[in-house]
Amino acid sequence: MDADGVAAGRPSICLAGLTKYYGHNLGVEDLTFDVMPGEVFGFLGPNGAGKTTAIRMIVGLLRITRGSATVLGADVASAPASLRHRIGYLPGALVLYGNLTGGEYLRFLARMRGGAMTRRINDLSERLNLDLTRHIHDLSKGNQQKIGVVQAFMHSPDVLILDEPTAGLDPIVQREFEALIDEAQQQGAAILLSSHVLSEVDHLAGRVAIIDEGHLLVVEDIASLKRRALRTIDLDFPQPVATAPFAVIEGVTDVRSRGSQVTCTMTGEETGLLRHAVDLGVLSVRTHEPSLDQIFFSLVQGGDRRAHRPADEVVA
Amino acid sequence: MLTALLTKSWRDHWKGLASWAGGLIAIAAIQLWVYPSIRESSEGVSQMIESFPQAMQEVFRMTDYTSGPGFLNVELFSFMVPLILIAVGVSWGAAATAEEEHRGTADILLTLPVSRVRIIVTKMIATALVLLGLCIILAATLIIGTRLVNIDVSAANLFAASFSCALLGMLFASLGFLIGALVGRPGIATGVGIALGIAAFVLYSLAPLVDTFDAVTPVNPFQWALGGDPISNGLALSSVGWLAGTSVVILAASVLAFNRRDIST
Repeated sequence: MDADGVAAGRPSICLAGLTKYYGHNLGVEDLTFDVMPGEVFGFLGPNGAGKTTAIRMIVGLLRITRGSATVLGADVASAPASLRHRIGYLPGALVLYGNLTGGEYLRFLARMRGGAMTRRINDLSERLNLDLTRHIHDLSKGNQQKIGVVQAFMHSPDVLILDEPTAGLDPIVQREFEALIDEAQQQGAAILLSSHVLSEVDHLAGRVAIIDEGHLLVVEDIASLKRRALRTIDLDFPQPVATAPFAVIEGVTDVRSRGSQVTCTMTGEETGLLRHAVDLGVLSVRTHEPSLDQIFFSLVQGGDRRAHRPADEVVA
Repeated sequence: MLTALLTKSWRDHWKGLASWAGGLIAIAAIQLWVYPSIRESSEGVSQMIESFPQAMQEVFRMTDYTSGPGFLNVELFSFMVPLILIAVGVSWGAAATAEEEHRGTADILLTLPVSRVRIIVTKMIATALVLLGLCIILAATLIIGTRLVNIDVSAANLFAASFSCALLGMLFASLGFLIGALVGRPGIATGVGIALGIAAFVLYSLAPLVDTFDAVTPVNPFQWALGGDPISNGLALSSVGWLAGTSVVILAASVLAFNRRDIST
């Protein structure tokens, strides 16, 4: 590993068979994926899927049962605490010291990190429109979340681990938050972004990992995932058309018509469907972005979710 | 040094600390204020005590009640001061890590570039300094007060008695740390710590009457702290050694337990 650890071509976060058991109860099992420098990586799954368990192992709050998590070349199980100078972490259930003001809290964290970071704190707070003079227990959930965002970014870390970061943020602040992510990415930070809603990571992340019930379902490019996913397509024609020919096109399921509009759900390439629609003189085509639920459904259709492993997905 | 964390611990609890300090000063002052009237009627008081059942005299260790040091021993150092310092110690120990974990503030604290060992050791130092501070405040009150009401007892012995109680408090604080690090629940750590403190106190107090209780007296921390009568005899090295040594062992176990712990959500 080179001096600053952000070597090109080397993952910033590397999970290899990461497993957590609580006694006999499974937390997560066999998680394996990498996050590269300069990559925003989405970590998706329904609530209770194990995202937070995995993240808490990466940041050292939970001890690893089996497998390993490596951050910037260092195994987190044995790395010195100084590694965390280069990690920014926003917990999923953020709890701050309510008796302090936002400014006091951030100055406390900065001192614990061995610096003042005054300018960076002020700059970030201004951008997020955060009032640092108010006591934390008087702040709304959204304003507390802003403090959480500031403390994760204030030391300009090389690795950002953000667990459901946009919870409670209003849309304007969310846009500023996304700008912060972009900047960090441009500076080469690796960013792991967890969410239970696809739309939150959709336009930020390149690749995503999806987990469910403690198991990894897939690690894939978001675009190709969407192509494979079950999605809904509306087709408008000049006049009503027969639905039966649609139903036999490869990938198409569940065809319905209302007046001159045909709505169908499909997975895979849309070529066959579009060719047939063009032959019928289609006026417009609307594809509804698949929801995370629909992606789950396409990943697990026809079987028990737990039976699915990444290896199966490659051939899916 | 983690001065930021050290000063934060004290700042967060300054109201509680101020009231404990005020309480210690008040009870010491009241006893000192009462004492001259006990001394003036010492003959009557002695007769009264002799008329108490033997058991009661033993439980409250009332020999020598009318002498200044004997009076302070009974009224302050056999009950009130040790229990107050145990309560302070246990609550600080129990709160140190378990409170952070239970409330959820540990998530950020423990992901800072500071090891868990340094975090918990800093909190142990904060607790030890709190107990030492209360001990100094109490000793200072007694040293000044005994001069004002003419009780003949050396400053060194007053400090010795206060310091023994502070060490006793630290020993139970270390139990608070250990239970907190093992279970992560401040309520359980406080409850068990206080219960153990009271149990040790009851065993020690009733030891003169109950042989089975007396059998464990040599390993009772109250015996280590108070058995040598520090207000008359000063600090005994062995009692300091037992109290400090046991505390250090328990604190070391707490550090190990905390370092291995899964921090729950």
